Amino acid sequence: MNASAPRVATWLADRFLTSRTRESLIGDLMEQYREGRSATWYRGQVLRAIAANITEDLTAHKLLALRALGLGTALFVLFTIPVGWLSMIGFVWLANVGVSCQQWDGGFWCQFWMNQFTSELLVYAACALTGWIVARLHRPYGVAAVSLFSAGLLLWQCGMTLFFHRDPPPAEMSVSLTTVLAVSFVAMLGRSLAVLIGGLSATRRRILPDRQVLIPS
Amino acid sequence: MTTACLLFNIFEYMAREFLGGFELLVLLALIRLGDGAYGVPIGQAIQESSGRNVALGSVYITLERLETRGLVTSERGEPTAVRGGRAKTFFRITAQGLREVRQARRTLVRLWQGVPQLQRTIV
Repeated sequence: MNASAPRVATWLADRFLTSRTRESLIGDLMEQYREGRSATWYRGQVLRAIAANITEDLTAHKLLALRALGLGTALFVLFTIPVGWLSMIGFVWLANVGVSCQQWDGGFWCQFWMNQFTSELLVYAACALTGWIVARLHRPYGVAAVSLFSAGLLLWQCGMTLFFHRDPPPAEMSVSLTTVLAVSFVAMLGRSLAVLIGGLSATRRRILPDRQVLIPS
Repeated sequence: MTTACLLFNIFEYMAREFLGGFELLVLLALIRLGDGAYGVPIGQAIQESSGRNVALGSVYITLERLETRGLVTSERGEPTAVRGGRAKTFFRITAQGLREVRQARRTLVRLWQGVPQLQRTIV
């Protein structure tokens, strides 16, 4: 007899499943796990349940799904592109006026503008805000809406990256195309993840009234 | 826009008018199990008869869909410690659900008859 069910999988099920029977489903999985099913089986069932839940919500509400994609894309363009431009403008302006990190003695604001990572963090914040708004405007199907938008965003960015990097980088550049694509992919994955996290923070977990805290014997 | 939404809903309803393959399996499992049927035994019954792995999540999604269509009813049980304080949901087929299953059976039998390729494979 197994002790407690895998925590991460249970947490994921609690956050992502929006169906009325969520509590019963998790209870069934826990019951089966305690009766000897493996942790891999439990995790697999949770992932399949989440996928089935999202697919059901999207197929039953196709117009909402389309609206989530359209609205998410519009907000993404509205928020992230100006953030990227602002970072770039600030970076170029500082370089033009001759400001460098040595002059500022490596201070916070220098790092803030000169460091590409920080500007990428601003983009992540904008992505999280986009996800939050998409989920908030598509309740009670926020999880499905934001998952669809997150996946769509990843695919769109992958397509754009492959399109813009279809030619190998110039010979004078020391980086290879594989490195450029790998770095871009990590950044794209981070943006989609930020959308998902922002969206999930907007979808509150519903605690059903008959859920009780019982300690397993 | 409203007309488009209305037409869309009508088409969606028409597409869902017939019972799907998995929906029929779930309803048949419910009839076999009778009272006290919940996710685990329903999934096991389908798994044993079909020989395929069944995801509990799919069983519950299908049951919810059938409940929305009025083909099954549900009732919540008592939460237990072994289930992490989570209650079972027991399902029961309704009279309308039984009618739908009979209708699906009639349709399938009619389609089956007179097809030599299928008659040879029946054991």
